[in-house]
Amino acid sequence: MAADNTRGIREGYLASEPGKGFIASWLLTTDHKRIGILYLFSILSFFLVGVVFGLLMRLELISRGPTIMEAHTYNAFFTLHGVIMLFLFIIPVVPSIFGNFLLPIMIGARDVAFPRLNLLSWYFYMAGALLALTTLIIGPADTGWTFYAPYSLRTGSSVSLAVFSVFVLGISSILTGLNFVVTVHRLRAPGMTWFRLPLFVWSLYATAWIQIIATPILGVNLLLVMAERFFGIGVFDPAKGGDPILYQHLFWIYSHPAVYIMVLPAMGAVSEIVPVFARRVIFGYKAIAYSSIGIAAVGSLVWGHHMFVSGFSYTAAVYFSLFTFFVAIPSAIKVYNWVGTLYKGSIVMDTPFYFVLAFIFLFSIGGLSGLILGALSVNVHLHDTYFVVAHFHYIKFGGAGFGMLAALHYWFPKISGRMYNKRVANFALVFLFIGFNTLYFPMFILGYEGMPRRYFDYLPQYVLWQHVSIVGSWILGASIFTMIGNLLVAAFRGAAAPMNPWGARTLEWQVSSPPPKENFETIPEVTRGPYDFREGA
Amino acid sequence: MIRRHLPGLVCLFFSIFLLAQPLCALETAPGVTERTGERVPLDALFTDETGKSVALGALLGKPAILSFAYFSCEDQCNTVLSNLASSLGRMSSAPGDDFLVLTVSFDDEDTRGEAAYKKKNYMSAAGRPMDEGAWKFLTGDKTSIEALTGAIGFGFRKTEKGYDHPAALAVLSADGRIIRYVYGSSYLPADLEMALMEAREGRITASIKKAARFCFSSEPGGRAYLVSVLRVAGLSTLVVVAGLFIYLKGFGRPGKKDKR
Repeated sequence: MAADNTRGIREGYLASEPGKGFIASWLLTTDHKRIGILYLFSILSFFLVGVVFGLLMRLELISRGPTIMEAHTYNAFFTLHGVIMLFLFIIPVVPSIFGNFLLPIMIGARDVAFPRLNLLSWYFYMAGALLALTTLIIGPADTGWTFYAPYSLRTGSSVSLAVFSVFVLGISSILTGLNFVVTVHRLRAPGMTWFRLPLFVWSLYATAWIQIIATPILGVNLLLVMAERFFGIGVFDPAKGGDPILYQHLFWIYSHPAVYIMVLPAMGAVSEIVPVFARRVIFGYKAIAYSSIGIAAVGSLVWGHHMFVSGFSYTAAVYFSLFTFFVAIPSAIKVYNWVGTLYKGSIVMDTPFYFVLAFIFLFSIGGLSGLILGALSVNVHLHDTYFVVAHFHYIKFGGAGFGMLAALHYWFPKISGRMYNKRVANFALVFLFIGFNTLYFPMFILGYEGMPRRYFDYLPQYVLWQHVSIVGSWILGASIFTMIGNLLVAAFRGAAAPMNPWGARTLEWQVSSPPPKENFETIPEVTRGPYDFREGA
Repeated sequence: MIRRHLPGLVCLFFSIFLLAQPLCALETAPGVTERTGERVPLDALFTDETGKSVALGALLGKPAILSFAYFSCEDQCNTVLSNLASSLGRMSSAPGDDFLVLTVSFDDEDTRGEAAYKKKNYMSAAGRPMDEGAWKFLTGDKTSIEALTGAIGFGFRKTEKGYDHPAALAVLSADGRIIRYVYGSSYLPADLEMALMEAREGRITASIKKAARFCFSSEPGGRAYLVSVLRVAGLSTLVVVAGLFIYLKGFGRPGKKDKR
């Protein structure tokens, strides 16, 4: 590929701005790329904190009874692990980092529609994140990340602050979503029709709508929890004639679509990577684009499957179960189309592609185990066991997390202008994959055997699989730190990356690495689809 | 003016969140106030299903799972008891030999006849042979009931149609200390086994605060205002969102060449 196009590495958007200090040039920037980098560092830092909590929780289970922490501490740890991993990491990670950095370039725009609002949403994110971590110092909440009423109404621990922090994070999420929707509608380059949009943009667009529509419900719900705690208005507290089930409805109306906020952008990234390394047009472009919208729509109607045992009507449960099965259809459409793209492609094996293969494998296991849980009859037995824990880690980490890592390794040369050590990255991936399965697969077995989740202790019959799982957590932890270390070294000392190291056709690869300020000297005229690999196209 | 006081106002705002404690810690409210580690009144007298009067202390001697119900309950109590029975049937330790199950009625008008009827039903629902003494169904007078529910922190309230009360089990050690609570109305056998193991070892632990369930004897009509508030909020969100979409699609679309 054209190495002659490589500019000096600290040029582009990374070049220092005259008249502005280093710190101001970052903290007051309205450049979507710099904001993406702000998100990258903050989100990955919180991710590592969440990983450490997870590793410590696993370590606690190395022997029965209290080992390194008491039951109360363990409760606080899993609450924080959940809040950090969900609200600070997996929900914002792909839209906020890669969406911010790439969406305007991919559609041929100079920035997002509202650059200042974009910076503001980063500040909201940081404020919410710091508030959440403050609860660590003043006494962590012990309700789990769901803050179920009425327990969350009565416990003395710092639930108010934790709830408020999630509320602030929600504002950040809404603003980002709004920004993306307007950007996609208004700032597409000439000739960039809806069906010439890269699929990553489609998935960000679908996600942005969920963010706008669903997040306010969480906000209203959390405001009601706060109102109830401070003024005792009695919406959720049965002691005052309130209804705790209402809380669960409102919570899951947001939080289940949030699962798709997590996984859709990751799927979008995968849809970018697959055709590039298969060197052919993606199979079923429209099917993939519409299935994103389909997942967003049907995913909004399945929240009740979190509540099968909460005692609501069986008729409702049957419908929620049915809709849950329906979500599998658009998800499967995507998987089949990816695999269909590989068929008869001229496959180039390279690091991002290995990540995508791991993603497809793990996401399929996660999705299939989701069908098992979606079945009403089985759910009643597996509810609140390790099976559920295994399922959502396969979806969220194996799916969204691996998709994010694939995106990170795919776009890293573009973002930083440098190339990482591919051998180290491949090596770390192999161990991450092994560690992941060693850590989470035994949880399916433990859950099937009835091991309850969220508990710091276990019965003697679970010792073997618990220990296998703990060893897995060490392999996983070591490979994550190796992977991130590899990227950090590359960001400062890596060799200069060419403009288009993977031979991709989308617009972001047609500008220098790293991209210049304002992205394009002249706004490009788009004349072909994003995955057109024909010679001379 | 506002600018000068802004930092102070912000600090004040956040300190409200830091300091605020829930207002609803009423003792008599339906709900569970945890009293882990404390002892139940061993001298409280109850009548078992055969009509014999027994002190709680005389019944214990093994770790015990304690559940509350009232026998005319048409809703949650039955779910709790049948789920408990099914879990007992699937546990590897044996009720009666390794531990006891106590179901205490908190309605002082319940009789031993009703207790015996419930016992017959749920013992057979467990689907495993159990000793007669393995699962006791107890009734008592107001004083004993209040002494026990107060010690456990089990809050209930009489209503027109019955009682409002939470669904939760307490696990007791052989000497009557509260080891922990198991919330909800369905119980994983392994969860109960673990609580009992802790009870045998006398280890007090923290309960898992998942969704507590409640039994309502009535559907309060006065809550309609809330539902309509939610309806209005939801509808207006959708209208705004649809409006945004239509605006973006249809109006004020800048010329395609006009990109700064």
